[in-house]
Amino acid sequence: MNPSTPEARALTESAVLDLFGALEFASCPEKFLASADAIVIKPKNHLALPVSRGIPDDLTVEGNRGVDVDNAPRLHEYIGEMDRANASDARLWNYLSFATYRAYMEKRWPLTQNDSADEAWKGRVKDRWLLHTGAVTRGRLVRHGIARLWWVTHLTYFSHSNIGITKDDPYAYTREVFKSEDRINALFDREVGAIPSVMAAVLDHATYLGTKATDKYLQRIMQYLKLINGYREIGILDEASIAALVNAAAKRASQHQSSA
Amino acid sequence: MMANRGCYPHPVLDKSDDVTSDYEVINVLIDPSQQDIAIAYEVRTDDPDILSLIDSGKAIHSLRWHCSSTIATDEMNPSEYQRMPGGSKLRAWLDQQLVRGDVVADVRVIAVDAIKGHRWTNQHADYGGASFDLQPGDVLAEAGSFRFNAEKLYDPLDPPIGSCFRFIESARLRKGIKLAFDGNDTVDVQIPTQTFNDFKLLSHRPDLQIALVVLPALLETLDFIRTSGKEEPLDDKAWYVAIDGLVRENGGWDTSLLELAQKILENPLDTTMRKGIASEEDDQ
Repeated sequence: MNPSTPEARALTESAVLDLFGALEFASCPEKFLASADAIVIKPKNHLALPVSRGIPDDLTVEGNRGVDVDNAPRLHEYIGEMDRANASDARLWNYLSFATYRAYMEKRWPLTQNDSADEAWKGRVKDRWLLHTGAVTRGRLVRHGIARLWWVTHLTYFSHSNIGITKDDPYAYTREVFKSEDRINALFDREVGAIPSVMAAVLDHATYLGTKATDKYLQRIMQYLKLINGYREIGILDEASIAALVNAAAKRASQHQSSA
Repeated sequence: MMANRGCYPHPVLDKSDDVTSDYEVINVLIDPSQQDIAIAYEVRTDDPDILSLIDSGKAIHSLRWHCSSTIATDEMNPSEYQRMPGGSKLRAWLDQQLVRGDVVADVRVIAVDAIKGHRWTNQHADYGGASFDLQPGDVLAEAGSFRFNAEKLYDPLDPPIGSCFRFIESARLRKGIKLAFDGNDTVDVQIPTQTFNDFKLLSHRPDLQIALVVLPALLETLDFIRTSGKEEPLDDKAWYVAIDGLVRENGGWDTSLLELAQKILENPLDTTMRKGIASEEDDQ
């Protein structure tokens, strides 16, 4: 824990707009971050959270794969559970990415520029650092550097559960998902992945297969489930029926893999 | 010519020509409140089979909603509150905690049980007398979709009253809560460590947090203002200015403090009890 880390807060809506303005006019990442700092530091741009969260533990960046396996539960424990409407508030995630978890963001999603004409870094800011209050979507929430840690955890967290691998660890599914970025996309880029019973059945299957459950393989399973959900309401099915559907999807995915 | 959509493995009553009958949604009414969104709509049909499938319990009305901003989707079973010749009026309530911004809802009828040998009286001639074995969850009819905005009437990050209080963990307190009025921006509500942790765990139930902690804190604050405000001016304190404004909007300082606190917080006891009973019913 670093005592100089700012406690979690939210930015005002006008401060978020100012950040977008600063991004538009900045010629390089350094100038943008300096402008952002000037906006984020002003107390008039802050909104206190309803409950004080104190100073968080730092998030760490090590290795190339599974970087966030432990960061996600750590952030979730700090912020705590909250309802989905409030958790999709861009004002919260923007303060966390620019202030509270700034050191993590700079290492995990660095902003670099190859030459003065290169503006690709602005795309990364919009993708990983900055959420627009009027354009929060599933895709943006699972890409924003900090929001994704909370959201994917929220969608995969089972406390006091008897479900699959979460009996001993409420974050077991979370760690399973964060093993790879492609796995996050495969599961949560499709709406069918937002149905908790479907997500749990797919992750149970992935855990059972271990390294054999490649990202491509899981992607095919999700594609099949999406197809079924087009004409059948999967959400109303019981656990056994969903497990049977996942098994059918897995069979198809395996056949596809062996014929490829 | 027979429809060639290629999605459904069985004929579906919708805008295509799988089945020649009509099935459509009209008169959608959306009424958002702080707690939930009331959704009412009417389905009209001239199909001779669909209502008897519902009445027999083999199929149900379904409202599948999707909200991209909250990565949320769920299936609701709207209640039919009026049956008319050729249709029904239905309604459902969607919890505000689940949605933000745009919500899309699909109006459908789905099978709840396996239906063996299903065939529509008005199914397209190209199907001949073919029948279909349907599985639970299979979509039987699609009336269409509608989109609405989950208008938020309350912003917890900028609340009219919550911003006057700051909830702080106190290692010295063992039980209960204690208030400190010396801050300029907020009244500090000190909460014992264990209770503070429990309070945070209740973040999914702001109604309980308000009824259990904010209501007594506000009552004590109103009493402090009424008694101490005469002796020392409080005009330099932001929390006083905000609460004084709310008191004036809700009947003025001559009103009973209990009545004032409940009005300002929009009757939290009633809301909490109603929610508690609803969640017990959901558990059963």
